[in-house]
Amino acid sequence: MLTKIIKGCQQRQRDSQKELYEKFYAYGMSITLRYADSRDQGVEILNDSFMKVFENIRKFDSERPFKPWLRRIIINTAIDHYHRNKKVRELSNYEITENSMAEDEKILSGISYEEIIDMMQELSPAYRAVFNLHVIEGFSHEEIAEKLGISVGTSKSNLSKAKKNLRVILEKNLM
Amino acid sequence: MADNKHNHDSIERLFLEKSEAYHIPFREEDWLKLEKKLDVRDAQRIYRQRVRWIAAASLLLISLLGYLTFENRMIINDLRDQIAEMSDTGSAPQLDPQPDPEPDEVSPGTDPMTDPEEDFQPGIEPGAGIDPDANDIVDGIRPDEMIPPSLEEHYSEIIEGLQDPGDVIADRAPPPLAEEIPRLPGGIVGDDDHETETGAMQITYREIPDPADRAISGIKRFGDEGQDPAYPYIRQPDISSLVSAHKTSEPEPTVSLPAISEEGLAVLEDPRTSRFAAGIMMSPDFSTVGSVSNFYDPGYKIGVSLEYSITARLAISTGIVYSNVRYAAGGDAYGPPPELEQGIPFNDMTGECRLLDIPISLKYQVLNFDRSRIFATAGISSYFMLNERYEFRFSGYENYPEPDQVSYWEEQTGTSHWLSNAGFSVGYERDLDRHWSLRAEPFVRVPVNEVGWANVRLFSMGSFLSINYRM
Repeated sequence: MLTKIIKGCQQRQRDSQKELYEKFYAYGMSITLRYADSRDQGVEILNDSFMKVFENIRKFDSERPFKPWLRRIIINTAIDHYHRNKKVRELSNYEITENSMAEDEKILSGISYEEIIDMMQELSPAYRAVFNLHVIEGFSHEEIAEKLGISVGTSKSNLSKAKKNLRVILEKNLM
Repeated sequence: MADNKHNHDSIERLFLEKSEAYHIPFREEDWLKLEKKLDVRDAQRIYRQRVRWIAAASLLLISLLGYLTFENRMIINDLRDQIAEMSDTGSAPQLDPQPDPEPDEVSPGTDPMTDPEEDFQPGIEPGAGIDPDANDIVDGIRPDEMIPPSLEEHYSEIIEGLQDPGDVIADRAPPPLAEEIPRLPGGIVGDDDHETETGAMQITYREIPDPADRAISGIKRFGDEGQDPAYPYIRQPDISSLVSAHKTSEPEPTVSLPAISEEGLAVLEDPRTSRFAAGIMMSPDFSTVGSVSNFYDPGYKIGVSLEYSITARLAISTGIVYSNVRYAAGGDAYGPPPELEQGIPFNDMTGECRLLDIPISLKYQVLNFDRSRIFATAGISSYFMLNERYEFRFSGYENYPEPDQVSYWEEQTGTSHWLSNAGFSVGYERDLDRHWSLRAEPFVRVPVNEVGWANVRLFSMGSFLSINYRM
C-alpha cells in the first residue's frame, strides 16, 4: 500500500501526494509541534518537510523504511527553522526561576499530550531544541553542538536549564 | 542519529513517553496550504521544461535548415559540374542549372573571380571557350597586368572599332551581327555563334547581364529564344578567347581586354571589403554536467567578438565572453577535491560559476543570399574561472547527513582551463547596412576537459544574438 503511494508520488501524482501527507500528518505534527512555538509554525515546518520529501522522493529507496527517512527530514527542517529565527529571539525572557517540583508519578501520568506540547512550547527555542534532540531524538551533545552550531558545553547547559524550566512549568500547571 | 541509551531522569521519561502518545486529527486546510506550494513548484518545473524543449527544437530546426540548404547547394554544384563536362565533350547541355534562390553577394575581402560559383553567369557555358592559360587570369591576376603593354596600346583602337561594345541586348531578336559587330581592326569579325574568326585568331563573345539590372542575375539564361529574354545583356569579348588569340596569332594581335572584371574589382574597393569585423553578443546559457538531460536554472553569456575573413566564405574569430553558468549535478558527475568529501558522498549539488570564455573558431559561410547568409562555426574555448559557488545536498546513507542537509562552498578560484570545450554553432546573419549586421547563432559547447574546482564536464547550449560591425 505504502509502496504504491510512494510510486505515485515519484510520478508526481497529486492524489498520491495527498494520501501520503494525510497518512503521516499526525506523525509529522507530533514532531514539529515539539520544536515549534505554535501550531501554525508546526504546520509550516511540516509542509516545508513534505516539500522536501516530494522533491527527493524519486531518490528514495523503497526497500528501506519510509518513516525514519521522513523523521530525519522533519527534524532537519525544524533545525533549519531554528537557525532562521535565531536572531530574533530574546532568550532572557524565557528564564524561569527554579523551584522544587512535586514529582508525583500519578499526577504526571494524567497529563495529556497536548499539555506536554504546550509546556514545551513555553521553553525558549534554544532550550527546546536541545531538549528535543537529546531527550526525544537521542542525539549526543557532540551531535547537537554540530547541528545547532553551538559548543558542547552550551548544549549541556541548555539541556539542564530546559529541564529545570520544565519542572517549574509542570509545578505551575499542577498547582 | 544516536541511540537513545543514556539514563533518563523522571522529567525526561515523562516527556519521552508522552511525546509518543499523540493524537492529532488531519486538517484539510493544512493540505491546501501545501498544495498551493506544490502547484507553484510544478508550474516552475513545467516552465523550465518548456524552455529546454523550445531551445532544443530551435537548435534542431536551424541545424536541419542549414543541412538542407547545404545539401541543395551541393546538388546545384553537381549539376553545374555535369553541364561543364557535357560542354567539354561537345554535347549540348540538356539541363539548365538551377539558379540560387537569391543571387550570391560577393563577400568582402575576396576576389570574386576566384570563386567558380560566383563566376557563373547566365548565358555563359561553364568552361566553354576557356583557354587553360586564361585560368591564370581568372586565378587572380588583373587582366591589365596580363596583357603586354603593346596590347594596351591597341586596346582603344579595338574598342573604337567595335560599333558599341556595351550595347544592351534587350530585343527578342538581336540585330544582325554584321551591324552590331563590324569588322575589327586586324580582321576580327563577330559571328552569330558569338565567335569571331580571322585567320589564326578566334575571339569568343559572350553576353553578361547588365549590372544595372540585378534582378536578371541568376534567374534567366541568355539565348532562350523561345522564352522571354526581355532582360538586358551586355556583349563582351571573352577573356580566354582574347588571350588565346593573343598567344596564337602572328604577329601579336592588337587586342586588349574589355573591363569584364571591373565589377569584381569594384567590390574589392568597396569599404565593406574590410576583412575585420567586431561584434557584441549575448545569450542565455543552459548548462549541465555529466549528461545533456539534467538542466538547472538558465545563466547567461555576454561578450565581444573579433572576426577576420580569410576568404569570402572562411573566417577566423575570437572574443571574450563573460559567462554566468548554473548547473545541477549528481554525486557521480561531481569530483571536488577529496578534503571536502570527508568520506561522505553527495546526493546532488548545484553550482553557479562566473567565468571568462575565450573562444577561437572557424566560420564558414554555407549560403550567401542577397543581404543575408547562413554560416556554421567550429572551434575551441578556454575557460577562466572567476568565482565558483556550490551547494551540496546529502541523503540516503545511515550515519550520513540527512537528505535536506545542505552545505556551501564558494571561492574566487581564478583557475585556467585551456582548450577545455569544443564549440559548434549554426547561425544566420542579416545585413542592416554596409557595415552593420545582426546575427542569431544557436550554439553547443561540449567538454574536452574537466573544468572548475569541481572538475566537471560542462555541456552548454544557448543562442547568441549579436550586432556586428564590419570595419
